[in-house]
Amino acid sequence: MSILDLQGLSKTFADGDNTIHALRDIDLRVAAGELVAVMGPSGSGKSTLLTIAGGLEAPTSGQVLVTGRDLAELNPDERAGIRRRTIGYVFQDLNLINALTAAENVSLPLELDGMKAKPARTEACTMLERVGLADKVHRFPDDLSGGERQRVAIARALIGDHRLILADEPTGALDSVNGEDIMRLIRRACDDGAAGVIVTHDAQLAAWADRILFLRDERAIDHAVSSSSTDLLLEAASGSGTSGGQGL
Amino acid sequence: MGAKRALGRWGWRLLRQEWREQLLILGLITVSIAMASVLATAIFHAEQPPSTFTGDASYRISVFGDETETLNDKLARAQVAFPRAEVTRSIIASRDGAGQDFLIEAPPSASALGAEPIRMIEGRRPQSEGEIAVSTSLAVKLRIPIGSTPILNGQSLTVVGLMEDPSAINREFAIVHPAHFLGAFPSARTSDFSGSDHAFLPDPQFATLLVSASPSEVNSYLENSDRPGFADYSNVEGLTFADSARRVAVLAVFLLATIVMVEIALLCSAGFVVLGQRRIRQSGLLSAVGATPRHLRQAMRLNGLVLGFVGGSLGVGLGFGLSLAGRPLFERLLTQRIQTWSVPWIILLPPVWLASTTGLLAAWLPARGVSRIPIVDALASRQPIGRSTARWGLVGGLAFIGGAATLSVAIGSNATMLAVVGLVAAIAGLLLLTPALTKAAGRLAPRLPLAPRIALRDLARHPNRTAAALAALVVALGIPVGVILTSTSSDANLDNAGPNLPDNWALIMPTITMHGGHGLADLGDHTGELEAIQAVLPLAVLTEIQLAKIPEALGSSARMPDLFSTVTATHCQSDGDGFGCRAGPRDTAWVATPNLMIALGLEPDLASKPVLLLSSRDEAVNIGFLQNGDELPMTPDVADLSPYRAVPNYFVPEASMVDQGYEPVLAGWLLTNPSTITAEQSKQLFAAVSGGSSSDFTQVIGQSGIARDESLLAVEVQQPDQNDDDIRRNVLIVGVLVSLTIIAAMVSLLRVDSARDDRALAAIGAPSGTRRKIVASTTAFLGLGGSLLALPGGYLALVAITSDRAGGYPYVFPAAQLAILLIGAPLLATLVAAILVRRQPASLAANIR
Repeated sequence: MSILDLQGLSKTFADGDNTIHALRDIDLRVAAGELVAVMGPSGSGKSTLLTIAGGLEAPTSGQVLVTGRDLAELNPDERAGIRRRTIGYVFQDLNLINALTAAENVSLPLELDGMKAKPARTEACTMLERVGLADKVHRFPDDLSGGERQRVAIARALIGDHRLILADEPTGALDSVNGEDIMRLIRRACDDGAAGVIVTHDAQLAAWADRILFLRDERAIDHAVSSSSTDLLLEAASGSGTSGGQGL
Repeated sequence: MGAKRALGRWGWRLLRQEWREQLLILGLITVSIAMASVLATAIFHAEQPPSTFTGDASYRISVFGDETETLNDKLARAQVAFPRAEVTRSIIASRDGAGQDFLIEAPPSASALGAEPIRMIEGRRPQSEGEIAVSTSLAVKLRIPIGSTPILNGQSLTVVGLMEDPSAINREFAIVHPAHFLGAFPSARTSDFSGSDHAFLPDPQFATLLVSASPSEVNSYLENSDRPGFADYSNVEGLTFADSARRVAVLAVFLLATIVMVEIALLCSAGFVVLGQRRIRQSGLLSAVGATPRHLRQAMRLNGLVLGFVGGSLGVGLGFGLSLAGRPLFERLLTQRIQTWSVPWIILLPPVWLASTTGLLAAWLPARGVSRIPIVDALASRQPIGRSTARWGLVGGLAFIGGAATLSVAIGSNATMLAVVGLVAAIAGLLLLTPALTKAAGRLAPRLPLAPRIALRDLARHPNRTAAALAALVVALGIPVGVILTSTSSDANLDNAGPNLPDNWALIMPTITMHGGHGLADLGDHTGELEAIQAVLPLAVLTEIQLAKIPEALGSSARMPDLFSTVTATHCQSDGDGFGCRAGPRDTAWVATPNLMIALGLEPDLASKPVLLLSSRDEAVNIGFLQNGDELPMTPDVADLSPYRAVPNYFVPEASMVDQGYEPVLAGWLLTNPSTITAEQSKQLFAAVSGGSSSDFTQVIGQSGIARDESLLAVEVQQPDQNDDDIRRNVLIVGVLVSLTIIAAMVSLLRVDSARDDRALAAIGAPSGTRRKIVASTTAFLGLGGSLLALPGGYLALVAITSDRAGGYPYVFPAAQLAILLIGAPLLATLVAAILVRRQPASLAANIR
């Protein structure tokens, strides 16, 4: 069953009298347990694809189905519900709430969904421990380094029962070792049944994905299915010889 | 120079980018300067120099005839002494049958000194004998429109014009042509003045000289070498020195404006802190490419200076426009005409300077804060978190304790200045404590639900900007709290004095003062009024009130046979040097007759007590007007007399009055009704003594419960409490509005950099009301925090203000008003915030990457 189903997706922006096509007739289906990497040059519409998939903005045309529900048919509150229960989003700029500690940031989706603060924070602490921040749970984002903040953002996306993980350059602020650790986390989440879409420029990270979607000139010009190629990419990247999902 | 140009360009770009926040600061400065300018103009007009109305005159001399030189002789001498002089003869007059005195004047037709004593409203000036022009207020009071022919001082005169005194538009007076003054009102005091009974008798005729002369010329005229050593009763008023009063007024305006601008500086400072935080990354970039901390400071301070200057200029312009538009209101309030272009030019520039300084000072500390952020932190947009609250908290705590202790000492020693110092120190301490208190409050955040947690954390993590906002709010709330507490306390003090009369009594008394005046019997028959009163209240009993007339006193004058004196008493305060009166009003003593005592609910035996004077107070008094104006110090016998304020504290027992050779003179009636006198009945009583009319001409002083017109009689019924309810209500309204405005401004500023958080929250699935809850929580925390701090501030003000009146001002807790101001205003602000704030950011995807 596909968790995310994008059908004939197009997105245009008005720029004065001109119309800019960010995406044109994109189809993408991501099944449970599948991780898709979106690659492409700057301005090709990668982030726009992700924000539309995450219900942050609406497409100009086409359909977005998350767990079979058409986002266009939902009201804003229902879409918000989908975002906090079903979608875990790692933003390029992280978007941590500066007024909340690391644990509170991570527990945010659970608290927003009605869970009591204490159990939500316990779960958040566990998740932070998994990303290696057990000793930073009470720190505020301003007190954390860029890499630590990124891991908090990942933890926030992975907490709870998120069935769709969307990550926009999730390892952008991390070194290669920490970046791989994060990718292992995302891979494991997918192996546990979630669907994942990551936007990246990094071919090494893309090698963790099951499939790679290349965007160029607003279109998905290559819908590559990588199995052996991914293994080759991974081997080349890490020298470990293991395929994606064998990490943490 | 190049660096400055680059920074200036950067500042200008930021000014355009952050136009909403800049506009808010600009608006605050503009509005406050406009209000200060309006106030300054009002005070400026209130202190118009006499030259506005008296032209080139340097002195105003009121000249009276005396026993050695008649008024005519004095005026003749003045014409020689002062080449440039204007003479206005005046006489105290009254309309026949009316008790109210007024002046009839004869101002010159054309002013030699450029004075404007008269402004015609309608009709014309009197030109021939038998014509008179009256001021509008006198025309209303005496019901003498143009064309009427009232009899004034025995003369039948035709009203030909309505006019006013531009320097006192409510003044009741009349004018005649100077050429006909003496013919109409021959001097009463030229021939029969005899020796010893002059002391308290005003000359009914006098003259006012406006002269342009030097002090020595005026002194020379007053000394009159023909009469060496004789004390002249002329009253001299210098007209050239009154500008000092205006200087004091201007200073007062500046002080007030400074207080306002301190408030604005606090508000703007919070704004600049927010702006500084938004600029962190850009500041870091500038520093990274070589800008010095000084450059960064200069950019923000220049921003403050520009906003202050522009806001000040706009504010002055706005204030000027409002002042022009509000001129009719000013004139009514100040009871004097204001020339159209009489603008306080001299105080136009200082507000601009004040506003510029305010803008600069408001940006000063935030600019320093921005320049001190490490470059790496700034590049990472890492906001500086206040870490130095403990030090300032300690200073604030010490200042608060020290101020309170000083206040306590000041109360013990009645030292007003010390009390002010203590108050200022305590309030400053309270404000300095605010950052530490804010940070401490932040510790409660983890226990709160999500939205209030985020709101409180935001406030607590930036204690300096929160403290600035709270300080502004504390000042805005503290002032009305102080006023409400003080006026409530004052009213509570007044309440102890009791009501003027019970609700079923009325006093029917003449409109003129009885001592040194006329008796009712001398002023005609009142059967008609009494019958009208009885018709209104058929079951009421009227009891005569009598005064003790002293035959040997002023009334013995052959010149003024109608006037007499009655026994009065002046409450004495010991001057610390034996017995002597230092202060106290002169109270007329009533005669204690058996009937009056019964009517007042007192013992009828008091009427036969063999003592000169009865009093309810165990205090020494001076009895006045006993022997040709002499006063007799004595201690009256203490008796349990009437507790009502309208009934005198002093009574002369009837028996004693007879023994002393005093004569009873009818002074009015005490009306006692079996039931409460209703408001409608009160109106009918007023109408009854006003000849049956309650038209506009009947001057009913509604709130005081006194009817007064050209009739002889006035009625006094139970007055509503003379309290400051109106003042408190207005202060409450203004306080609520100002605090709401400040809360709104502050929340807008504090939440302006939270837009990204709002979007992030929405992006991760926050329900649509989350943003609303956060803003409402911020508003509530800010408002309640301000209230919590304003309450002790207000009580400190009460303590300080009443420090020299220990015991006189009780401590009060006006729960309803304080609740409205300190709880209601924050709650209202919270409610408004919750309603007005959009549920969800307009664009979720914008800036979410």
